[in-house]
Amino acid sequence: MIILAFDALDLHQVQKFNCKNLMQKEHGQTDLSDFNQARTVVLWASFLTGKNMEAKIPIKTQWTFQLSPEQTFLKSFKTYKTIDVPAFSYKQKNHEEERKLLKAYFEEKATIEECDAAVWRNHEENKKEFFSHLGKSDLIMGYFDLADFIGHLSFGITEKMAKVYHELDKIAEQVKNTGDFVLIISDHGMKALGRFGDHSKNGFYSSNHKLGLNLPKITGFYDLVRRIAENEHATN
Amino acid sequence: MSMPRINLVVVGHKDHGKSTLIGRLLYDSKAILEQKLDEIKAELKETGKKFEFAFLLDSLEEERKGGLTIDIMHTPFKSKKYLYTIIDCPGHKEFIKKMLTGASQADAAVLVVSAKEGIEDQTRQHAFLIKTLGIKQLVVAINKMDAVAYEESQYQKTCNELRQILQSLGYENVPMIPVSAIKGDNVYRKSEETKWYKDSTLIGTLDENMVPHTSQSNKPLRAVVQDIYLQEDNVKTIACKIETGTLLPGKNVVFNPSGKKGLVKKILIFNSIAEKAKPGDSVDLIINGIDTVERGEVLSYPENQPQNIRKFTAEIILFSDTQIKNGDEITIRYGTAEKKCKVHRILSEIDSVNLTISAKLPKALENNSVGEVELLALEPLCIERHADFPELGRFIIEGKKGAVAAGIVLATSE
Amino acid sequence: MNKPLEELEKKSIAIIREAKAQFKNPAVMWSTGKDSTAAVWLCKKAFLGKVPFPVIHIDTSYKFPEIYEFRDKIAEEWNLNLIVTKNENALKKGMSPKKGRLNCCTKLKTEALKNLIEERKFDALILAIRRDEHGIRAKERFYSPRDEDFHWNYADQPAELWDLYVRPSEDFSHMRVHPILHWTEFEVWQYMKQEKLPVNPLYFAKDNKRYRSLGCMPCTVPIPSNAATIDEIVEEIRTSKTPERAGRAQDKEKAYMMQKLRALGYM
Ligand SMILES: Nc1nc2c(ncn2[C@@H]2O[C@H](COP(=O)(O)OP(=O)(O)O)[C@@H](O)[C@H]2O)c(=O)[nH]1
Ligand SMILES: [Zn+2]
Repeated sequence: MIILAFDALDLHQVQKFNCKNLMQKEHGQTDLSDFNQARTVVLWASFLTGKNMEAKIPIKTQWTFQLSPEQTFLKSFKTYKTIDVPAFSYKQKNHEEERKLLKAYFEEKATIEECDAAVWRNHEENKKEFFSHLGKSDLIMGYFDLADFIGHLSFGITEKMAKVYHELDKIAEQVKNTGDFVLIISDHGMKALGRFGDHSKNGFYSSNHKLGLNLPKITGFYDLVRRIAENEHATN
Repeated sequence: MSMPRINLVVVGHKDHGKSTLIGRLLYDSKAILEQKLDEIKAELKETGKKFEFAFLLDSLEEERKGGLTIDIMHTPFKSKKYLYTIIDCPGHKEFIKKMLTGASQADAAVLVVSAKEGIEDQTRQHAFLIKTLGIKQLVVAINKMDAVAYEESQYQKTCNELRQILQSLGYENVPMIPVSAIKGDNVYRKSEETKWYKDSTLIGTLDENMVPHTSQSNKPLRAVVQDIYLQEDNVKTIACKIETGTLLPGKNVVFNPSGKKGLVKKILIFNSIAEKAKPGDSVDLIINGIDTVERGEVLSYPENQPQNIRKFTAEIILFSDTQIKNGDEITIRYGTAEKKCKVHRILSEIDSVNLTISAKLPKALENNSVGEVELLALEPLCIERHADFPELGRFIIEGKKGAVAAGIVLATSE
Repeated sequence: MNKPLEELEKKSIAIIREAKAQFKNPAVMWSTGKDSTAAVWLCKKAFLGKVPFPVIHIDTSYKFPEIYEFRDKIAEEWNLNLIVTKNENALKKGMSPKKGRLNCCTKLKTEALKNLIEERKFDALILAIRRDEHGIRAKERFYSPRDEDFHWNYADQPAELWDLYVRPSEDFSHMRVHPILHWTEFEVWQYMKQEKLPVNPLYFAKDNKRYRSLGCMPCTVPIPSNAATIDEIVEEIRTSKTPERAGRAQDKEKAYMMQKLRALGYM
């Protein structure tokens, strides 16, 4: 199975830029109404555990919050590889740098170009790692925060967002013909705030199988992923 | 060209419409950009919320969580007459420290009371705290008139109840304006819906009734010693800040509690020798007969000088994480003086919500409570009654990290 | 003197004198910009014309030539005890805005100041920030304690009542003192005019552009403007749409975004 975890991938943007590969066979919006805030780590932890983790993850220590495999659906897979997954194998150094730059940008100590450069660099790193491990385990889950970070600073700048969505669509294209079950999911969506972007509850999911879901909760994928894992064991 | 300023604090029970009213004031006075408004409206539309004026504050305020505005905010807006700076008060008792920080800077208060819900706990409590801090200028906004069909009887009912409370706190003839913060009635715009109400709008009432911090130059002289400076020609000057009254050269003066006497030879200010010094002025004095005095001393004319106080009664408000017990040794700060005192007796704990005495002669006062205490001077000091000299009748109790309590002197004995 | 300005000035001077009395070793920060020039002037006025403590200018060596000229001229005229500090080490190692603005600023400004504080043991720094500058500044107090890392715990600040500014007995490395916190940008300009204070020429429009704040050359951008005198600047600010936060639409949007990101834990 392949899970592409795209931070802040937004349903409306996917449609706006007509990203066919991201849409796959079935796509739609996720239901985040159970959450007070659309916090990245909280949402990914909830996705991984099938439980609403909002109350368990204090904002102060959220970035270093860590789940054990037993708490997540990963335990259902014989072998798995996760790349940069928040609340699990999050690359602290990379993201710390990104947050630092974000802050610096607002304090007028860093330019947008510097911020963008760092994020694209981290993105390329994750991409390389992802494709080098593709097909080597029962589950591969790759996390990419390009849409989130670039979105925060430049959501109002269409050309930039188009480039981001095109890049993510290309990744989806490259896993299309692997024969694996492909789930694409985001933690939350994004909405414009002048030139900037803020988290919205407009989350996105898509699958290369017809699932017939209607506004699924982000915690609802836990069971789905486990069932797929068990089927894979059966066919192996 | 610069406008006189009024620092306003807006208080009242949670959800009675403080933020909405402030939003309305900022909006109607055009202190908020059109563009900003559109942005907020667009965002709200997306999240399915309807536009509320309180959101204007949300967008400026960093931490509004669960509907609580938890720090003071200064957003200036203009009327015809004044530049008003608003201090939005937090509505939760945990935040007393922050509220007092804001309110202690205020010249005037607006108490918001909803005609729909009527008087509630924090209505009384905030009125009490405002009084305790010594804010004399008060205006009441009877809010949500739209929700009671602009009925005069509803307005009167709330006014009558409130008037009693305010009178018990010593506030007389407080203007009470029927408003709808949401609709804008009687805030900036005279309402068509309240024909029975003949007086001014809220902003009109503020403009008519409020006076900026006034100079107390006609009162007896009080000045506090900040420091002693050694000037370049080896002359020592006494650095003073005038609190009340007028200081003139050639006059005899006395410093207390030391009792040192002298004659004012020169009042130095930047670039010149002054003919007088008024409240608020920081001056350097050369005084015949006095070489040096300690920081914290109070200067006055001998005819009317502060007394050496042995014991005084004060109303104190404690901030979070503090406790005060009978017998405790504390350091207080008034003017520029820091003095050791002993808690002689805690006379009472006051229930600031019901405005009753909740305990007589308790052994201790804790977090966020209010009480009356008797303090004993452990070294000479000359604090005054707040009623006589507010500037020297208020103090803080010092903790390791700063102020842990605020106090107002009710009575003194020599 | 204009009455409201007089009141503002009185309060500022009282605060500066309190700082001098309560701290062993204060200093005032001076960028040569309008706010800090006003603050240094207030320090002069507070002490009969002679600033009795050092005036610190942090030199990144990437500043406009106008800044250096202005600085040296005024320092001499006003008889200031000027300390110019540079992070020579970082400069020698080739630090420049090309290595990233954040990096450059941290090394050349923050670190330079940290080193200086350590070396000279300053326990109070007088800074010319104003509440109306942007959102978070509204929460600043007149006395604001900082720890060694310059960290400001704004959520849990000591209370500040009336004009009783307190020097805590522990828990701070140095105190930031903000004597013009309560002024608005407009009032600062009016004051500059009233007091006939020298204004760095960079503030005046040249080729339809002028600077609103003065920083390092590579990192500061001018705004479109025709204001070439203080009067015209005062007028520009007065007639702009938002009276007190003139021309800060972009800043507000930014401030709003920062709040959102803070709420999500990004900062
Ligand atoms: N009908 C009506 N509702 C109001 C009015 N002012 C405020 N409200 C509502 O009362 C609620 C609380 O208002 P808010 O300003 O947040 O109160 P605060 O807690 O005192 O700041 C909000 O739902 C407002 O929409 C008013 O004039 N009329
Ligand atoms: Zn984000």
